[in-house]
Amino acid sequence: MKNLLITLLTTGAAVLAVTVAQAASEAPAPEWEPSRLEQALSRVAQGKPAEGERLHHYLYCSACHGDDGNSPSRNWPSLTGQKPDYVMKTLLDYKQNMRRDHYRKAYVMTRMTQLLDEKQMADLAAYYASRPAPVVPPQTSAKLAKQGARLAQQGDGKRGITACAACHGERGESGVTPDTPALAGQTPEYFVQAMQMYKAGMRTSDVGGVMRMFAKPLTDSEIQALAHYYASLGRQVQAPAK
Amino acid sequence: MIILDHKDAFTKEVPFKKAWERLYGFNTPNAMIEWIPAAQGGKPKRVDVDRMTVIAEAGAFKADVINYIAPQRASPIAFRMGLTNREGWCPVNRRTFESEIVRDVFVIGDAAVADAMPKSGYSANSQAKVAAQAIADQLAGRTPGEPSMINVCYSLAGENYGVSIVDIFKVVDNRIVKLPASGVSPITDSPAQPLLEAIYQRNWHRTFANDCFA
Ligand SMILES: Cc1cc2nc3c(=O)[nH]c(=O)nc-3n(C[C@H](O)[C@H](O)[C@H](O)COP(=O)(O)OP(=O)(O)OC[C@H]3O[C@@H](n4cnc5c(N)ncnc54)[C@H](O)[C@@H]3O)c2cc1C
Ligand code: HEC
Ligand code: HEC
Repeated sequence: MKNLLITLLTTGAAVLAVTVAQAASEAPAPEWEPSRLEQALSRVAQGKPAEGERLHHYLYCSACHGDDGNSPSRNWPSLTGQKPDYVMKTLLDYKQNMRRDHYRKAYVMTRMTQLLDEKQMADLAAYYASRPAPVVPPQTSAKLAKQGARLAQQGDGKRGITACAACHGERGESGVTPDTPALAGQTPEYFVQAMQMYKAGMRTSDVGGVMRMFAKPLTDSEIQALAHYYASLGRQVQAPAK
Repeated sequence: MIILDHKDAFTKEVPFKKAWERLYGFNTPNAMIEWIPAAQGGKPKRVDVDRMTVIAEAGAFKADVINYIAPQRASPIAFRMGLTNREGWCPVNRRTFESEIVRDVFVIGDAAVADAMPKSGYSANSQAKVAAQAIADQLAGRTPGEPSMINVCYSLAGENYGVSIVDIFKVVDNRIVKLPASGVSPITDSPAQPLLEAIYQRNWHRTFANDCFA
């Protein structure tokens, strides 16, 4: 005899759902030490772009990040043109719950990365690295971009802000170290969110707390301007040939 | 868990059964869940509370917990107000949700006759917006517009396993009908698919509760 019995007698159209309480969010892993990070990224060179492309579709990454990782929507970041080390690292960050935020934006990635092993992460990273940098997102403001340029290129000595370009590349095209992200063409909404979460100390993925330190003195309008500056440095799409 | 059903089909049946197979050994000797449709004698005839037993056409089922869902109808107040038809539901103008029986009374949600729309919280919410707009239009002397209504229903078959259905509705010949754009979770072999649906379910629930009560 069964232990539990539930009878269901509906008049045809009743809808049933079970609401499970939200699992308590796990505590974040301890912050990266350079040596532990190096160890964790040791497989990145073995990544296979073709396998990454298959996974990008099979695991529905494409549903949000776009057909080839260049996000079509202001809701999601673009992933193309990144060095594989950064992408692999950030997937590990999510898996270890180091990227948290007030709006539960990172939650989807924290869950999705539970499905990935390190080989798959390396494959995905190799695929995004093989794709061209993102195009300038729609609604990028030229006016704001102009305001952001100075801070990005020169920093602000008085407030101890190093020029962003010193680490993220002259035109945001690539980082000076393999785990420093490219910023050119990144979705501005995502950029703002990333900066605000460093500023709030919720995103603890930056080794040694560098970005938390640089984000701290920035005002909301400076962050906006920087976001549009870097967005404006994305790839210009050529007008289709006549 | 045994489901005794007086029907032979249920909503989101295909993805639900797939989820039960994957999570609870459905259709195997070790199944944690069993579904007995009407065709196999699932129709309950009587509940013997003292013996914690349901007597169905297929036989007697004893259990530790019985969750009996009685036949549904509109609540007594709807009957007392004279809003109900012979089947026990409230017929309404499908474009405004104004009662077809009593003027200036609007009925939405489970109590209303809404044809192809399922009785769900989302439907009720969708209908509330149509009714509110229609009332505002009537007060302003405008003719209410053509409503377009939606139902989305997410269910968690397991902690990380969501299934869903989406329907879009329109009024055609004074009846609410489902448009072809509607759909139910596909069956794929990607582990990301039910996981994403579970994530969407939680986000949906949060934003829907805000939309209703915030
Ligand atoms: C187990 C279960 C799971 C479900 N899961 C989902 C789901 O996942 N998604 C979804 O969209 N829908 C779901 N539904 C359906 C959804 O709950 C209903 O369709 C929805 O609540 C209907 O809303 P309503 O306002 O029409 O009626 P109700 O929510 O029933 O509200 C009617 C209210 O009127 C009150 N009332 C009655 N008489 C009087 C009176 N005389 N004076 C004052 N108040 C009175 C009642 O107490 C009640 O609060 C589920 C239903 C069940 C039973
Ligand atoms: C439902 C939408 C959704 C899906 C599906 C999704 N992502 Fe994401 N992804 C996001 C969001 C939102 C963010 C930004 C979250 C944040 O603010 O931290 C993000 C961030 C990322 C980042 C970090 C970007 C950066 O610049 O740091 C990477 C890498 C990434 N996703 C890879 C993936 C991969 C790989 C998959 C498939 C396995 C995937 N995503 C599936 C929504 C999604
Ligand atoms: C000392 C080097 C350094 C400087 C200077 C620096 N950054 Fe960074 N930045 C990094 C590193 C490293 C990361 C990756 C951190 C991580 O993994 O979370 C990063 C990450 C970011 C990210 C997140 C990108 C993403 O895809 O999620 C943004 C946005 C960013 N930096 C903007 C800036 C801006 C704006 C400035 C200037 C005000 C700046 N950075 C200055 C090193 C630097």
